[in-house]
Amino acid sequence: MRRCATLIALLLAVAATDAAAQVSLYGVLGVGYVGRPSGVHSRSLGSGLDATDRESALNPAAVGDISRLTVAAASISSFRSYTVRTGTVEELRDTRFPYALIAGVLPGTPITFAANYSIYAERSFALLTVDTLVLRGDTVFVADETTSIGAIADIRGAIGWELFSGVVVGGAVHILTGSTQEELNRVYSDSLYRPLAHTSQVSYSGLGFSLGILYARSRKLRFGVAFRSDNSLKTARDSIPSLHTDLPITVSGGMQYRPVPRVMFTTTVVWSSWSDAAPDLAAVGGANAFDTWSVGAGLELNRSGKVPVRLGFRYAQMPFSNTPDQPRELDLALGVGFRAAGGRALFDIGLERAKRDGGGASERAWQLSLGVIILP
Amino acid sequence: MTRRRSRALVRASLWLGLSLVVMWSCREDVVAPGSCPEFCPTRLVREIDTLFLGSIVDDSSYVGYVPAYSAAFMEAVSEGSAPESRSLIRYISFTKVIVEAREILSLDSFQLDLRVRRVSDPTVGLELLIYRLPVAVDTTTTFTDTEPWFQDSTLIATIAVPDSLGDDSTVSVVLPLSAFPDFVADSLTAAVGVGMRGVSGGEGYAHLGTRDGTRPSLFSRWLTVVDTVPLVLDSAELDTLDLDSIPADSMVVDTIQVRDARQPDMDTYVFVAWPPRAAEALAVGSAPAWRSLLRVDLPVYVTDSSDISRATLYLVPSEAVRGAPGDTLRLRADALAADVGAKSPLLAFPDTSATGAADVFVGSTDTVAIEVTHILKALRTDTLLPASIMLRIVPEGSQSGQLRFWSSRNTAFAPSLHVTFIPLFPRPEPQ
Repeated sequence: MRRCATLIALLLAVAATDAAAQVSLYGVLGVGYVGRPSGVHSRSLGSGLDATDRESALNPAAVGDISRLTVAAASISSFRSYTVRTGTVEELRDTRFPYALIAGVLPGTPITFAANYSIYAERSFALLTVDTLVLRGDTVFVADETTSIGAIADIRGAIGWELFSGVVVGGAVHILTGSTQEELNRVYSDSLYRPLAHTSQVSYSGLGFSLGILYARSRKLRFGVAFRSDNSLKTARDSIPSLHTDLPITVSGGMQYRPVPRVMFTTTVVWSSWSDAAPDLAAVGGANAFDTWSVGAGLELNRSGKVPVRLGFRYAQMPFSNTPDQPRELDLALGVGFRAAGGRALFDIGLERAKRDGGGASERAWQLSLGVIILP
Repeated sequence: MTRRRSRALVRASLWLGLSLVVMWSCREDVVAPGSCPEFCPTRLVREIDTLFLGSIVDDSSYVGYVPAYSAAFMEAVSEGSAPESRSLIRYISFTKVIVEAREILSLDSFQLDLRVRRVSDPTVGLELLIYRLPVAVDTTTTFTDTEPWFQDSTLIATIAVPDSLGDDSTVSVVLPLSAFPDFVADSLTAAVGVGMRGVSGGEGYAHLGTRDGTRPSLFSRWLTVVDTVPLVLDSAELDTLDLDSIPADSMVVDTIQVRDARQPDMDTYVFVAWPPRAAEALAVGSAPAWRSLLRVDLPVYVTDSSDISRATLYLVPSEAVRGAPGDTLRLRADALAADVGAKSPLLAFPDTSATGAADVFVGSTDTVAIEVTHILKALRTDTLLPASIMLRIVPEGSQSGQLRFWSSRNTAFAPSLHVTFIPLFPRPEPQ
């Protein structure tokens, strides 16, 4: 139990340093780098478990699997490099806190509930750019440091109910909220031009709902299907409404198959209509927006019955690009899990290698995920 | 037991390693070069550069800020120039007491040390002319009043301005006793006038230090005094010392020259007043000093909703800049803590380099451009500041020169603002 408390403290310490993270260069575009509603367990399986995972925020029906009070949290540290037209940047690192969950059973009812926190879109970045301007007939060099710190969070309240034996339905309300602290510092090569410093607080809000079904055909085979619709993302800069961006409809489906008790194969497919955002982004001269597909699959082997080993693969398209080329991401994952405190604490560790290409950049990252699930 | 121990050791090692990895990865290192236009979040930052005609309104000129006798410097401009300026200095009276407790044996000569802050090109052949003035000279003396005093009959010294004379130099001249024949009668007070002359018709000017500045011109008398006292006397008897009553063989007497220097108790300069300016013109400079108050009327989207990177105020002279030939006027723009008209208090900026200033050449008719970025930028951060600019020539009251420029009443040549700014909205949230 003491070890469990130590890890929780460690996770909280890591969480305190989150926010300033630059998850991906692609976070500069559109509404940001779109997050994954996965816990560490599912991430280690290439997010293939998302459609049937009670800890993921994708399918609200999966909440029906919850049998007791559950608390979970995760941290992700990433080590990145990327190559753009102007060169290669290496040794970027950051840590963030992208996921938390509290779930349980409503006393005296067959209804289960869950409240999730996950990153909907990450908008943290700090970029240096140099440009030339012609001002008053003279060429003036300008150097800009643009910093955005923050993210759009997805707060989900979900309930699940076992309608029939083996059929669970669920529904959830998603509240999109969050803010970014944005700064622009510009200096000029000509000292007659005074340095500029813009600081503003950009807040985001939106609403969505999701419905899902979880069908257990047998103890070996389960299917999950979910539908999610978000309205528009309202953006306000320094409390002044400035932009509405249509958000996508998301349809997902997946399965979980256990041919033998200690082997599990999972897969999830997700489609999102991110092109719905294209007109709004185009109206402000923003990035192109594309519909996205993502496919994740994973294999879990639990030979000892104590320490499952997980392998995962994920291919996903990314929705935003300033070029006609739609970026995509390929993840290979490896993970383990183990129990502590007599089974009241579950720890998951995942390591991912991410390759993101397209839209004028190529990005590589190692991502270390740490997750803890407490069953008090 | 050993097996359990080794398991515990492996487990502890794993935890330690994991903790180290997490702690190492906690470091944030996220600042990276961007790549435009593919990954360039500031591509929507628009730098707008616009000349705002009619952006200066309700402008006025006021006089009387710093009179010539309170200025940090005074001016002497060569004879025949327009205008000719003359410096007038009256010194604190000397006392009759023994200098440093020594008895004065004789008054030998005088010395005048002129502190020259700046002088026009000395190679044209310039002379400083020192005149004896009546001690009645004061701050109300006019240029016309000085005419009888700046004559050959009262000229007591001529100092050729050396070619090597630089800024902040001292020019000294020793004057004979005959330069001030009425010195004792004038109760040990002296006054001098300083004029300037071009040897071969050249024109020039000199700026001299004053008592209100940091380096006033000094007036000294050279005295011969007793240096050694009788050996037979003790110190108590020194107060009643009568040299004639002491036998010559009982004392050792020597004499030395000492200098007794005085600072001015009044210094000023006079010149012929400038002709009136045009009806639609404003003025800055001269003495007593003029200032001009300009009120800024920029669109709200510039002052409130934009970040100004550069703002330049343009002034169109209504006539050639007046002043000493070859002189330069330093025009300065200040923000106001409150706009109450002529007596508006100037706002002191902690960063002096941020204060707008421009050099204006006498005789020039070119448009004057002065940077006022610091003033307009301050309007957005402090909404209580008045949108006003006070223009003046610094140091105030130290030069006869004056800049006259068209006011907002002359729509064709009214002052205008050239502003480079970035609108705060919209900014690149979802791009």
